[in-house]
Amino acid sequence: MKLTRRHFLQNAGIAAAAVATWKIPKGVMAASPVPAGTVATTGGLPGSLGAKEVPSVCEMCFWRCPIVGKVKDGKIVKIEGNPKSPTNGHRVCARGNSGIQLIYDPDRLKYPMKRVGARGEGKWARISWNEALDEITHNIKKVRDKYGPSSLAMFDHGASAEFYREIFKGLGTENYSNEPAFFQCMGAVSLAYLVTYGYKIAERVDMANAKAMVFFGTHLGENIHLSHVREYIAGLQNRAKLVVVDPRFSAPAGKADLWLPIRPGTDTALLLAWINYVIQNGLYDKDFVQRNCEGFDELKEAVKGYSLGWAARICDLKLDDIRRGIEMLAASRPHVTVHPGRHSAWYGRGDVQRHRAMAILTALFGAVGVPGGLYFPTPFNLEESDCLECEEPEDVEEPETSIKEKYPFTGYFGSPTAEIIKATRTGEPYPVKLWGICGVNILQTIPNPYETMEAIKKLDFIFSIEILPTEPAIWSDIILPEANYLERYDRVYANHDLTPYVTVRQPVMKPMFEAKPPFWIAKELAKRLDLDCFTCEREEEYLDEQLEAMGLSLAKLNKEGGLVTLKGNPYRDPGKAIKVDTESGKIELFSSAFDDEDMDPIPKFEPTPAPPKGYARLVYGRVPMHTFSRTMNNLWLSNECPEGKLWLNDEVAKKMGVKDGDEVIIENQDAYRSNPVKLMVTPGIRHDIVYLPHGFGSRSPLLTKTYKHGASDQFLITRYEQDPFFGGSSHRTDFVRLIKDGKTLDVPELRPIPSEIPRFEIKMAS
Amino acid sequence: MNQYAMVIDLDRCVGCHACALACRAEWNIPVPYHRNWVRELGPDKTPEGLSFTFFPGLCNHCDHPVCVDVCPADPVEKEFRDPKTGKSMKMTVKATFKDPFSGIVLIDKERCLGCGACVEACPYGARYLNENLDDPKADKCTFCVERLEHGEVPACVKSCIVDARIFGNLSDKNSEVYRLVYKKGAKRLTSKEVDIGPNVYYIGKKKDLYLLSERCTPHERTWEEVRAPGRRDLLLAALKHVRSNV
Amino acid sequence: MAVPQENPGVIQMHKRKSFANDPFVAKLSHVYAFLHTLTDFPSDELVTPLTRSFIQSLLAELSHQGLNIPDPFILFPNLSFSELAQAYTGLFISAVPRVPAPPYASIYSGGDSSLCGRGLVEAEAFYRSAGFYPRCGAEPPDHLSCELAFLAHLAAKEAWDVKQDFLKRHFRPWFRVFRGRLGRADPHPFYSMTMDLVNFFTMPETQEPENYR
Repeated sequence: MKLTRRHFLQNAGIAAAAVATWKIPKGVMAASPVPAGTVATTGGLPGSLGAKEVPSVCEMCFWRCPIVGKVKDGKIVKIEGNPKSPTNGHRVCARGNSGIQLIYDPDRLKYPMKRVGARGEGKWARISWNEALDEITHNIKKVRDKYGPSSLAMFDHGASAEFYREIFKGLGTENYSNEPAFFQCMGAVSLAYLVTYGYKIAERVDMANAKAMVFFGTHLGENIHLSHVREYIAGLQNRAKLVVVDPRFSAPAGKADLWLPIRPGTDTALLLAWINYVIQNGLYDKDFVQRNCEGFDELKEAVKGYSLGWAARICDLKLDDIRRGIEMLAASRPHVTVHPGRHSAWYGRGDVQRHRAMAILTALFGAVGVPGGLYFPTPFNLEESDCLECEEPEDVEEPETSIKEKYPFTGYFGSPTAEIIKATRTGEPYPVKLWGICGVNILQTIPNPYETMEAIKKLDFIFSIEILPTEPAIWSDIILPEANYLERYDRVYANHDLTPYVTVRQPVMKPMFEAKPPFWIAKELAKRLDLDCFTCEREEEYLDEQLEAMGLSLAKLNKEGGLVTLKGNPYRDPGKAIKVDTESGKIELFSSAFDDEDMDPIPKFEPTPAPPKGYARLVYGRVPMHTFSRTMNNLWLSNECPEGKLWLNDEVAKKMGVKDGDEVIIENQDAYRSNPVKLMVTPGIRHDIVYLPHGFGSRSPLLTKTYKHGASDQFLITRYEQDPFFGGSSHRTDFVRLIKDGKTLDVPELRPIPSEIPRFEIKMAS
Repeated sequence: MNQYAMVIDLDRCVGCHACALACRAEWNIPVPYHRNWVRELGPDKTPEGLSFTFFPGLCNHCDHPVCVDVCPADPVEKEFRDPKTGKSMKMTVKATFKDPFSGIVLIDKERCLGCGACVEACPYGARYLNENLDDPKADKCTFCVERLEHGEVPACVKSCIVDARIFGNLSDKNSEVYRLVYKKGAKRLTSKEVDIGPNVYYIGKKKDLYLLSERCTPHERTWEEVRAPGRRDLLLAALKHVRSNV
Repeated sequence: MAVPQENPGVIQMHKRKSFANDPFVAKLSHVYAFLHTLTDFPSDELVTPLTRSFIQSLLAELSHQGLNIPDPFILFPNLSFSELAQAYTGLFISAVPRVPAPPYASIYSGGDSSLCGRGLVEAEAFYRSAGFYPRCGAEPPDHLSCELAFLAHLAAKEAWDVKQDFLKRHFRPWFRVFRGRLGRADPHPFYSMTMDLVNFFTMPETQEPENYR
């Protein structure tokens, strides 16, 4: 007869007696009232109707659409847009809808943990908050005292990172920010437009009112920044013409009037030829240029050699198409959107000048401060709260050689990521010995993850503040679980776009487990590090402070549904000259800032090396249901798109003897190989590139139990060049071939490379 | 009688999958099932040029729903009410039926046997059997009828970031769906073999409609297999047997 | 025989003879309390010689009565707190690429395998009607250790109907799947022992207190 518990307990001798003495823990057994909000509302409205709505701000990507979290029976059941938002209204994208699976992800980080085993093994033990914070701050002090404050480096991105950046600033390091948002992404375009127009343009282009648009690699629709997707579609619905310049037939190419499948690395050649054509044929806004631009004569002289025929050869495009494109754009001036782009860290050298050329073309069209063109942010005042700022210490020991020294324009953005990693690995120009990470996937984001792993091994201490167990957590000594965006306050958000608004991220739910909001974490760190910041008791205090200048408070804002709009002032007065915050006071077609630093004041065409024979360039991009690698663990999003496929040109595929759906391995010029990935064979891509959606694929190669969902582009980006202006890293300078069934397959070259473009040479391993 | 319908504008659609997830969130549809789905099509050549477009799909609430025909549940009399006019009528229905006042095809979860016949019958693959439940039931898009009753639009329509989904009553001559279908030639996914009157339509560029039509039009008369009488009886018998042994 | 329940968690308390003197009641409640501790994040107390000898005598007694559960202290005679903490963390809290067996009813109770799902709603319905809401630190209350605390309470209050109902309709279905998944993750022997014990003490059996009809 099977043993039953009753029988066992009746007959158990000593054991049973001992059991009876086992105390039931007090806190558990006390009869407690049922927590509020958990009572089921039986007979309630269907679906998400009837839910309590809490206005907040999304952070499934960095666009920060205003949302409402809908709560029923103590659980968040749906996320929708905040109907008061002028940009998205009641709409949210796939990621926005899936925030529910972030908060209820069983893999979310729950407790502070410390590493057990070697860095990179991904083994942890739970510890208390006090232990974790003490350990972190003890190590910060130790490293700072031993090596100097600049040996501390912060890898920061996202809303919460803004808090921790202040802590590092307060510690006196010059490396308190190396935002990959700049060094691996927006740096080139930000700098180019800043020196041209004197302000941060932040992609403010009025697409909805454009009569023509041109995208250089911009793939809105695959990249979802909700308001921008709405605006570009609105522009198309208003019959705007669209020219897409992209080696791949992207989603917007599918809606375009003209697709220019440009040879990668030659966009600047096309732009310079277009600029020359516009000048030579008088297709520019003479009045605007005369009144508002500086350096037109120098520009005209500098570009006179770039003909459309030359560009056709360099760019591998048809001359007629090139002409048709520029005529289409010029005919619509000044209501032309030359989309400035966002992720511009392509080739390193030449990136900034590519965007300078775009900025110049925009100015020539007079497409500045007009409907359809670049528009101005509407300034308004938010108070800055002292509580949120840490002062740089007064007598801080500056390093003898700054890590930014090589780059004249780094100062705008922080310390170049690649330099911090190099300093960590080599000790030059000085040792970096401690990393703090928040919101940056150090391995899936930064070129040459193998170098990064090497660097991490040399650190005295590394900690991360994370939401999911991704690479930073895997490589950290201490991990702090952060509350996600649905569970916390951040700062007041001010949007300065066409219809400006103010809103606030506020908690829809209380943090689960022992996750803590960034303000609390920053406060605890500041206390232990003797920093005089984050001194407010609660977030509501600094939020009220920030809102005061606008005559608002958190309570008042919430009375208005969590969002208040203001009157926008995006356009210029057509009769008057515009005020430009550059050295000359005008839009600088000739950049004096660059000239002062011996950089080309007017863009030149600098070719980036073409792939070696037998290889294609590796290019990557976005898919609309993911945000980089951040969402790969999200149940709903990974179900919509579990793996990226490798795009390969159909003619090339035929010659290589591979077909759609075949599984291959990608090998780069440094002989690094990817996980297996399926091919998508299509006519919609050039012969000399392959394309992978970003963010999929392996975790650290040390782990054997990785997802096998596709290949990681990042782990194939092992070779990079740094931009000479600010030190950003290139991401599209790696070349690959394919391996199928164990056989290495060269990528055939279907069209010749012009002599002006050098080839990359693979150095043989010694 | 009314017929709710949807028109999806492929010129607007960017294939972002917001619709699929808004639906999932609203109705707790468990992974891996879909009431609403999006497929990427292309880039591929068409006679009108290269196309890169999308197939957002859902139940079509067909004029002649074959899923209703194959349901083996015993028919019972059910009263239907028009929420707008208050009119009511009685109809004999099985476990799935087309509401006479809205044209929406619905499933009575209490009466559904979970046999899966309707799932197999649908040529569009719009239904699924929820085997996560202890007592499996068929499920599919309901055009958010529960939300309509409260004056709300379907969840997918609400979430679409570019307003690519137009929803309304085809019998209302002033509605946008009427205009798009009858004046602007919106297309339905029908073929010679499968022509059961789907009420989800598509508009867009010629090249995109071409690719959509070529890739996503059903050609298999899937309900004919399910209807075979011998098979149906076997199904019912098997079900009875399984239930009695629980 | 358990009375069929139509409304989840509504207690159908039957008047019956007091079991105050039935040692089974008290022991069972304490057993569940002990299992609650075993399935919670370990404390220093778990690795003291006293606790160890208690566990070993429990296992010995079970073995003597016919149920063999491997003794983890044989494989790990010097089992330390930090080893247990690491094992628990890797099995139930955070692991790469994912937690192998998250110990929450919601993960296994149909629908999406996410937190705070149907399983939590079910558990909370039981807690509400029993008027007892177990608190388990920062864990949602469908955590395994929380549900064991609830069972301890039910046993102490002699609420056999509710206990049977809770076990049959809620706990056992998800615990079975959870235990299977845990087994496939090659868990530390301390935790396979723990789950073997939980399994034994929550297994369906028709014999509850003899006097009850």
